[in-house]
Amino acid sequence: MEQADALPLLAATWETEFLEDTSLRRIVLDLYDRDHLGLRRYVAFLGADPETAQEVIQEAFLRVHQHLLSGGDRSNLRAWLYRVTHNLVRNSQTSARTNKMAYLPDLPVADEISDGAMSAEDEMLAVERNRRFRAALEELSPPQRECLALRTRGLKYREIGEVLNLSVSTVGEHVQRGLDKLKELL
Amino acid sequence: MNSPCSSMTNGHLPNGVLVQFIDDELAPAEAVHAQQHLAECAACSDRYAELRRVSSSFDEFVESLRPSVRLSERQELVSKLDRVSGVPVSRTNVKRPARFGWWGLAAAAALTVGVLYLPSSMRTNGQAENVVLAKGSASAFEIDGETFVSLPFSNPDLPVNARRIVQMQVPVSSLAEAGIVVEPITSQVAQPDGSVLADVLLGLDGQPLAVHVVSLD
Repeated sequence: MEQADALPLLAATWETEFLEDTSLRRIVLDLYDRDHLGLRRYVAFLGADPETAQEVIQEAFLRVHQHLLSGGDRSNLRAWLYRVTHNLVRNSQTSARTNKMAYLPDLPVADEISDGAMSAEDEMLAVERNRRFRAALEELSPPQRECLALRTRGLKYREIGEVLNLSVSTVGEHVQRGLDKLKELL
Repeated sequence: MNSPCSSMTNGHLPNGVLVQFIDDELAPAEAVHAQQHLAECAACSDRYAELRRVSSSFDEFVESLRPSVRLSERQELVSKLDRVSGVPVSRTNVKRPARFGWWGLAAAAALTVGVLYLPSSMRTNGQAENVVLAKGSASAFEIDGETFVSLPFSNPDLPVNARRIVQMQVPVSSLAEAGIVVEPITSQVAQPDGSVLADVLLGLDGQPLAVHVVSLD
């Protein structure tokens, strides 16, 4: 091909590649801004320590970018993001042989107590509520906890099924049994 | 899909249906049936309210978790995206590109966006006086010790908060055809094909904002 003939093609390629990449980065960062805190809560639920959580979440968003670059399906990036994150956490736990039951490392009442935002009575109630919840969650199976946690993040049963590789009806059963058990224990 | 009545157990809605009703997971006909039944059945209505309470408590508990997140994490992600995009983030990462490809890309850039690359007029070495800008003076600024000249159609007031610098061969002839005359280009500066090596600053939208001619360093 003559060099002059190649220029329009190169021009189109140049513009497409740079604009496309910029657009994909924006999608990834928008997703990060919207979901990274909820994702961090879910990762904490899976038992990841803060350092692992940070590494996993960064890797998950990079994989979203790679997924987009390779022309992957954009129709439900949130579910895709949660699935990748879930698998990364589980892989890290398998390789590190950590205890999957050692979840919820972040105590929600600690900050409230330390900054004096709560009255002494409210602090006691919050501590007690936290203790009861943690005890009750210990009684749930991992899939029940995971289904409930993903449901709290606003995912539909079909999406939860995609994340955990379960059927929609199985997700429904886990959610119902998890709530039934919590109802008994709380 | 099950018929609405088939989901009943002993004349009542099972917890599974109530939970799906809470989660808006029932088919429209089933949801209508559940709503009608709840309006009439106190026992189911009480179980429904209790499940809603537990569900809300769980949601509140999860939302009350405060994972530690450093503010710098987002910037770290941006830096990693820069790296995996294959776009160099600083000059030290820039590799000299393949000659024909960047010549073509440089020309393509000029032809596509109508923006031209100018060499710096603020050099202090002896070769600077060989370069004459035919058009009016452009504003200049420094990045990592390099002087960049703003391009004619870029907005100099825009903050460059996520800069990306690409090194490429810029064809002098294409600049001249477009109205920018750079002369005389000595044999030490220009390549045999009449191009010069330059760092081009790209904005967030991928459009070139400014240029620094490396060949003159």
